[in-house]
Amino acid sequence: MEFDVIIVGAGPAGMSAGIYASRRALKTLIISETIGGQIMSTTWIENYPGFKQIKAVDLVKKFEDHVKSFGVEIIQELVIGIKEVDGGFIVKTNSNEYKAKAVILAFGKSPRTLDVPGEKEYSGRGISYCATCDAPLFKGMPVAVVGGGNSAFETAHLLSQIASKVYIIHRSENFRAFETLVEDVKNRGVEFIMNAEIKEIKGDKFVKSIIIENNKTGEKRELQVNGLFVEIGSEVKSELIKDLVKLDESKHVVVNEKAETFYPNSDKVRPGLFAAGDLTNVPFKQIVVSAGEGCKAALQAYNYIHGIETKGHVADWSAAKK
Amino acid sequence: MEVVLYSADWCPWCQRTKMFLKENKIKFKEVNVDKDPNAAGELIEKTGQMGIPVTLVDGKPIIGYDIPRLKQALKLE
Repeated sequence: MEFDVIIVGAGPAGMSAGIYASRRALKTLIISETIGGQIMSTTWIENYPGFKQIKAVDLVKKFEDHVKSFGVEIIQELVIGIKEVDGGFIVKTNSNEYKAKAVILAFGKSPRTLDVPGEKEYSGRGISYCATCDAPLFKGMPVAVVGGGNSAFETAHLLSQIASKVYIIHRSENFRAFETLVEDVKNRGVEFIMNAEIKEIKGDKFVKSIIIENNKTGEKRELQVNGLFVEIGSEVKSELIKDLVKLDESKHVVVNEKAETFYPNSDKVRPGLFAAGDLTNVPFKQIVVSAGEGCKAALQAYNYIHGIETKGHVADWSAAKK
Repeated sequence: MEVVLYSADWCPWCQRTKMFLKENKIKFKEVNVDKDPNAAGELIEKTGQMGIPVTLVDGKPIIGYDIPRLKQALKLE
């Protein structure tokens, strides 16, 4: 199947790109294994303009309905390869191949893993990367949260209402989380274990304990917990694109102000391949920023396909495709 | 075909799974692990998993919001 543009990812950047591409009458396909992106790991959204407070799942549904109302097709498949061919790109999924003149990379970031023994084995059997999904299954059990940012503390806050005991394990002496959140969690009886790193996760059918090591003294101890919530940030799964586009030192896709990408280790723009959202080096990972960047990528893809040079103002005054 | 969805109100992926089942006109029984005190234990026992959503299709568990597996199990393809 051939398209003008294929958008890889269905979070705020991908959805917004879909809306703008279709309003420019580009034959548009969105491919993503799941829909919504990282916002689906939260419950409430309180900073997207027009919605004082909205459930993440409802905002995503609105995005999806909006995109589909312009005739954009969303296919839920896993993209396993992107290859440049004559006149465009082939996007290969686990079950099909699709061709397009341009591709917009918008598959965001994924939760970072610990990479310690036992992690893979006990994932879903005591180890969780989604507190809003799994927390209440740990009612009355001792649990630990690893991480020092806001998400770690929000998770600990949620768990303190459910679990019998909550630990926060953090590798340094200082937290990145907001002080008010740290205080609140402390007042709820959550125990902080500082300068500590997880070395192993042990159990039988489910997690029973974790081995932690003090990174100052080298002292090891075993902590009896049935749950471990990993909240150590997120990363771009760059395997798919590392040979296609330039990445920065933290593996984000380098883009210019027009959402264009570059050849690997080069300052030469890679024609036809655009990127938007959390996977780029654009700062401030926010829904509204991703939506804005997705818009830019789609409008630039339109200009690329039609050989138009982007100069100054580009307005989306086109009528909706009927 | 008997379909049972283990879910909770606060879980976004559970809501998405519910939307998918409704859009495809699949009749299902919903078990809310937050409201039913025995449901969480029952889920862990049946699936060996400590996570939701889980959809049981004729007793066979599909873990998470996994559309390809759900389509296959529900014979939607």
